[in-house]
Amino acid sequence: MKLLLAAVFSCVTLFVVAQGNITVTGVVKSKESNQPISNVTISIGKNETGVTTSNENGEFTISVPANTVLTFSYAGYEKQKVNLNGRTKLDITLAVKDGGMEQVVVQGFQKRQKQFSTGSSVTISGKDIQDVPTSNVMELLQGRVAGVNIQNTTGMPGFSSSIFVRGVSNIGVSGGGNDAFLSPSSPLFVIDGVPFDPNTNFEYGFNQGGPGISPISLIPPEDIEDFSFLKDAMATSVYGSRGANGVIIITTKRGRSKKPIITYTGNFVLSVPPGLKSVLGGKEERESRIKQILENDTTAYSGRDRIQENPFLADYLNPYYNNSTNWQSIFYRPKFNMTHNIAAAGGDTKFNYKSNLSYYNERGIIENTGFARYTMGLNTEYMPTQRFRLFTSITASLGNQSMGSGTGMMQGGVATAASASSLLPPPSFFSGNTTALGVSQTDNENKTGRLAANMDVRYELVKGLNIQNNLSYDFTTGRTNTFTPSAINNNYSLRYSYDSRREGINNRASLNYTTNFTEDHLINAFVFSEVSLDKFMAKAQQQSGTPNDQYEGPVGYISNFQRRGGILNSNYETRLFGYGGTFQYNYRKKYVLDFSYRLDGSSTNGPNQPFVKVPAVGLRWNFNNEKFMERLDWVDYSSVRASWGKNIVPTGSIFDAYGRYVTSGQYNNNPATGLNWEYLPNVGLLPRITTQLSYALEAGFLNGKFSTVLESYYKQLDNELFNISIADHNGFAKFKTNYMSHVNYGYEFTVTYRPFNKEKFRWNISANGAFNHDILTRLPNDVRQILHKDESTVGGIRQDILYRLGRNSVSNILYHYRGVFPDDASVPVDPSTGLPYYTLDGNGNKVFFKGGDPYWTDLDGNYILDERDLVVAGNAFPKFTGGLQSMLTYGSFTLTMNMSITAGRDILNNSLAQRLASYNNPVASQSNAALVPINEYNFWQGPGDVNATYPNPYDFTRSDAVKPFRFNQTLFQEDGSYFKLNTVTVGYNVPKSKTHRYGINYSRIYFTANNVYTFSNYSGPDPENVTDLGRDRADGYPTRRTYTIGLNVQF
Amino acid sequence: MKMKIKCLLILAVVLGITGGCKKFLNVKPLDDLSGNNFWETQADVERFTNDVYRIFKDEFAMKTAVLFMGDVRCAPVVVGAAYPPRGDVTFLSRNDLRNAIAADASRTSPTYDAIREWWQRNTRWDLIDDWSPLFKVVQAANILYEEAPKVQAKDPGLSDKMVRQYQGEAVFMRCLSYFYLIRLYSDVPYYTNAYNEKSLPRTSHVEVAKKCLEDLERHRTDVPWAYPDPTYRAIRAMQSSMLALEMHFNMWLAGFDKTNANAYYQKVDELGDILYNQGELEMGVLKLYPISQIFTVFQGRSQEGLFEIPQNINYGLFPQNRRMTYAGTVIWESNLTNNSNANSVEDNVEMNYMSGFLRTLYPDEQPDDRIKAWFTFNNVNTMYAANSQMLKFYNIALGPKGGDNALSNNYFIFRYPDAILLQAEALASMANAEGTAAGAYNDKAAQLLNRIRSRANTALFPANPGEGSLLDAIFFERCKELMGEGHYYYDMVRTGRIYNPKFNYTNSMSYGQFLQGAWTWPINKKAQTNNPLIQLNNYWN
Repeated sequence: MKLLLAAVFSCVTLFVVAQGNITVTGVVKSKESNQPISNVTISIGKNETGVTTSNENGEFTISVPANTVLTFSYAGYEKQKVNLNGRTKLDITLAVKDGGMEQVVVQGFQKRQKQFSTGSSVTISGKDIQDVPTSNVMELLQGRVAGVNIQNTTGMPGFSSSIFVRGVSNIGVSGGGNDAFLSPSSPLFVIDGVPFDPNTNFEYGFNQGGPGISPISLIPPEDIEDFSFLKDAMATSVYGSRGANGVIIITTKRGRSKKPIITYTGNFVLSVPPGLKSVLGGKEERESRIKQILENDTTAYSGRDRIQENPFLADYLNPYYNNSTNWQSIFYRPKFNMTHNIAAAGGDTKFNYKSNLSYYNERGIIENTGFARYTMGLNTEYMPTQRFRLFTSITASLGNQSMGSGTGMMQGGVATAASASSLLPPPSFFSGNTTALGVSQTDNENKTGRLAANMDVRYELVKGLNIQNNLSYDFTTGRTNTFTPSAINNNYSLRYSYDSRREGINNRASLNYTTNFTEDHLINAFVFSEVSLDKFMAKAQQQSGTPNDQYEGPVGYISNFQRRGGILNSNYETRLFGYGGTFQYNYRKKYVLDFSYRLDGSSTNGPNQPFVKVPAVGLRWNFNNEKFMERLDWVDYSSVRASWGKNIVPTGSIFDAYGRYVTSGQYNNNPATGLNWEYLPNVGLLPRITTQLSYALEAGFLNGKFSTVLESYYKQLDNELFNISIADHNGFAKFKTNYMSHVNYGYEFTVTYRPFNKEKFRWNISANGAFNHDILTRLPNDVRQILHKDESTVGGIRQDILYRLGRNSVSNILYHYRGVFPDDASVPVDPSTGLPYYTLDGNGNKVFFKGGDPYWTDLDGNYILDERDLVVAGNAFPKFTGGLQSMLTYGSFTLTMNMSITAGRDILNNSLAQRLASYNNPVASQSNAALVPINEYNFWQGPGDVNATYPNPYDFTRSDAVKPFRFNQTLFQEDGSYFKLNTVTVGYNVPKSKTHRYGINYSRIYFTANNVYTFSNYSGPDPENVTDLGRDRADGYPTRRTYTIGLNVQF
Repeated sequence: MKMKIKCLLILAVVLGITGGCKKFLNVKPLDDLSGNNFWETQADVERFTNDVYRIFKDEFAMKTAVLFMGDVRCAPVVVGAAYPPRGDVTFLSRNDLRNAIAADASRTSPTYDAIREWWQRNTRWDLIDDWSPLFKVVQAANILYEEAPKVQAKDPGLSDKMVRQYQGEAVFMRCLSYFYLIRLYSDVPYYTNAYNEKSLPRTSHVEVAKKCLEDLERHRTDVPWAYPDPTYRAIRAMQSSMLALEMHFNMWLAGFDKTNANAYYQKVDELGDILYNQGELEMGVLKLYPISQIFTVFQGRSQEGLFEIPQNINYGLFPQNRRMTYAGTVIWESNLTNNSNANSVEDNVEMNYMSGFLRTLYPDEQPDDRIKAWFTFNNVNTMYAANSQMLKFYNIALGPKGGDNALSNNYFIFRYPDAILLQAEALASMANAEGTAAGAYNDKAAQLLNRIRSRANTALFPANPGEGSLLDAIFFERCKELMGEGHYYYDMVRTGRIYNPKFNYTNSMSYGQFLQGAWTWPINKKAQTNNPLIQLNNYWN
């Protein structure tokens, strides 16, 4: 509106001063995207009198005095002044103004200028991440947004990262042993208007039968225009229940040039596995084992027998056992990959289009794993008049993943095989290490196809009143085929197929009304209703015993017991109906007041449950516009904002509330239907309430040199669902209760500093960080603590988890390790019984501690080491996460660096424990048999050694009872803080003059190193590559380091 | 203006969908039914009711040898000559539960002794210490009781009378479960609320019995005397089932709450009269069958049955493991194995009665039609011999080598003669205590006793057994008539005969042990998990 007025006004003035002038023509483009910008205001003279605006192709033509100064300004871009000096042709590039108040952010369903936004949201340009090829774009956003903690817990291509917005939202733990995992609480993703919840079934790629490819992995990073992170209640409230964990909005690029622009981006990537673990090989290994047996067995005779009974130790002349195989190098190898992306875009404001074609292939650093992605995206915008707009987009993508013999995130097969004794021959059908063969010969194919379409229509009914409808459809199919040849599967070949499909439909209709009474009062009202449907169904089939390894089906010859198949019980259908509205009042751009309210009904809770209620209030005071700030002209802008919101969501499924009824059998030949006895229906389930409070101060100083956002938040989660076991006289085993609360509170900061901001030389540094504290405030039945018993054991050790009030919400419970007993005499003796400190073995016999054994604190002072001696220790959730970005431009060269920090987190180094424990069984050859060079570790050398860090690994006859390398001890709990240099990119913009004659109007080559180096005190390989519960498992998929040479060309 | 109306219309459409959304939000899950989609029609209530009975049948009665226990625990039984020997018979008859439970059912323990422990996989005495199957029935019955009336709002065809009947059945199954619970474990947690999740302490078994009596009394007349469908007879709770259960609870209370014993006896007499006057005379739904027809009684669903657990080979219902049953233990192997040689030396039963005990019940030279109807003896022509077998529960229709299917006769919980003898016992006990109306009580008791005796064409009271004592005669008559129906042990416990050396043929329990709770069954330690209020049975645990 304003622009229009300005344009009209400028036309008038144009006629007045139109004598004796020169005509200047030119194009205005964006520096970041190299796309033309329309409606850029062009003004002349000292007073910056608006003269004209650029057209939809960024072109302008003006008639001005020859020596005047032209000023180009556009919302969200930095103003640029150009002295004409007689030139008649001008090519102007405008740079995006970072952090400025005109920058557009997303609040709820609407885009807003930052100065009118009361919620907490951050927009990151897709440009920032486009020099690093990756299967998972979220990986590249690590450390970029304050309060968004992204951890790349696995290096498996095609899998997603763990994302936590403002602390962990769900503290339930499922699974057991090293596979225990935290219930996912990822934010909601909206990709080009298509919402999906990553917590449903793609999430982590284990614990399921399907491919597990995350839809996030199906987005080519080259096609991303920007990301918006909505963090607080005000920003997310209109998303209702799904927005409780935050919202991430991803928008792909649009076409904006009249001349079609073809952009090609190609990357050539070398993936390198991180440092491998060193192991003993060949003769050294054999001698170590024999020496250990002879010196530590119960008697010399027994030791001799033990060696004789194990030919791989005794029969060293046998070529089968006379090897020194480096198992790890067989599985972990550097790989060369490439990606290609072609985008074509064009059109004008009336009609524009973009299509993007992308190919990405990454062969994993572990043998027989990898991920390939093919995508085709198309969007068009049709806007015949200002009153009508139709936007459609359609994206088809296919991900193809190979997980080898593992589940992707866990490479159990590789880990087992790679831990085989080096004395065994390398993989062949005679090797005996069939797991190793399985890794390379299992034929595994995982495909995920996704089709997403979106149609958005907007029509202006009367001035200021828009009606809009957004319809999106999303279809995903998953398919897994795995064939395991009979030679490596106990002589029975195995075929497994899995098929799944998921459909999502989402429709949102809205009315938007904006008006202003006089210039001072601006009102925006927005009402909407939303309908969502989501369906999922999966089938699986397993056949065993095909005729031979060449025929992979369809028939098998094994009895029916081996033939399984059918629809899996993971199918679901959920529906959601919601409506609500927002109301904004804005007084002279100084005071902004926001209300928002949403009501949601969801089929997960059933029709009788109350609706979700999500109210939110936000306030903003741009105090820079006040009189008293006028004198402080070094302050560019300054404002404070605050928001409060609640998210009241009925929890639990209809099964939780009403019970699960199954056909149970018959009585008197009449069918019977009864309850499933696992969960007692909880008829009184309370809705989960998330209460968020957020304050922020935003300010910019010294003409864009320095800007900052300081924010603090308090997020309380009440009535969280929690499984408790109930007394057996209730018939049912478990009960879902929801008297559990925890609180996340913390501080976030973002600082941007531009020491140099010249045309030739620019340097942007931006740092952000967030301190998060989480505290458990209430437990079911008002108990003070709950011990979550580990469901399964690894090596006879349970890794329990403790929930204790007042502490961090999930705590480890461990034996306190004090050191090593230097000799037998230093083992404490119970004065009342005369017995030395002891523990019980599996059969309940006393095993007394000796010199060289670990000394764990006997907490209860009864001279017996048992579960009562466990202490609560450690926190797997980081206290501080942040990042640092630096972008240096000098002429045509750019140097970009991205770093991230995670601090104050504890890791259990299970991997080291497991490797040291290899010494506990000197006759193991197949798994857990690779021996680490123990001399690198300060272990107990013999009686009298008081300085040892690690206990005696050699005493294998007692180790089964003593378990010196048990996981649950403080010895293996380490500080997992790290500082990681994520990426370094050196880029060179080839001057247009050199490429112009080839029809290339823009080209850039760059070199990128990703996952460059991690600075950490952690003794394991990678403090990031651990589970959300902080367990470094030996069979995780390591994160690769990549080196990329890339090329970006625009025709 | 027109525009404005248009806008308002659109607004109304946008926001007006709200009304129709309730249906939209109700998704019927494909895999299982959820509670909100289940309780819709009478058929749903019917199916759930079936499930309450089914849990009792499948998870409690047929999963272990628990029903057989009443006939073997502290009973005058000996291990039969079949090989390998049924060691559990010895353990149970001596009340040596520790050994009965300790035997390894998984057969994997390194010390597993095949001869000594083989039976455990068949009998599963080790599972009886878990009380949760019975509590499942309680929980399910409580849910049925609460949900049934709510269905009326959705299914108008469901009448008040039907709702009351379903609730009555729920109460019966709940109380029947408590009846078994208190007889097995003495004190147990007691609750009647649906969806109970609270951890409860144990309630005195006397209290539990009293509460159950109130409950039954309130709902007794809600269930019918007879079902229109004759296949439901004695399979679903009838008024006569309720009466029998009430009589049993009263007799149990009379044994443990001795100060009020007389009131309980009085009540039993009253209930017995209702059974006779209304059930037999007025409604004609109960009767005693002649001995020549008695095998039809044990096939099930007869007018003599008060509550039974249905078995029927036609429905594929027969004990999956015959050693869990009394019937399968007192029958020659060859009758159950189609291809074995009937004359082989292995033709021996797994459990025998002590011949002295059988002589007491069936004195020499005294005619009794039940001998011929129920007992057969192979090579020797005396029932007292070690290898005589009992065919009371054998499905005659399947012939002499009927296989395991031949055990597909119903399991008996309550039978009309059981109720008649209980009434007789109550009357005789009152006569003993009071003295004033002793004559009348004794006469009525003897008359009831002789109803059973005369049907079997045996000598009437005061003939033996009993040596002239009416109470003893009734006790022995119960032993005789209800042999194999799971009453023996509990009769011994509630009457105190268990610590009376004259009756306790195996000398398995002293009075001191009885007081310490030797009569209970041990409770599994898992009852204490998540429930700090539970104390186990001290005698055992």
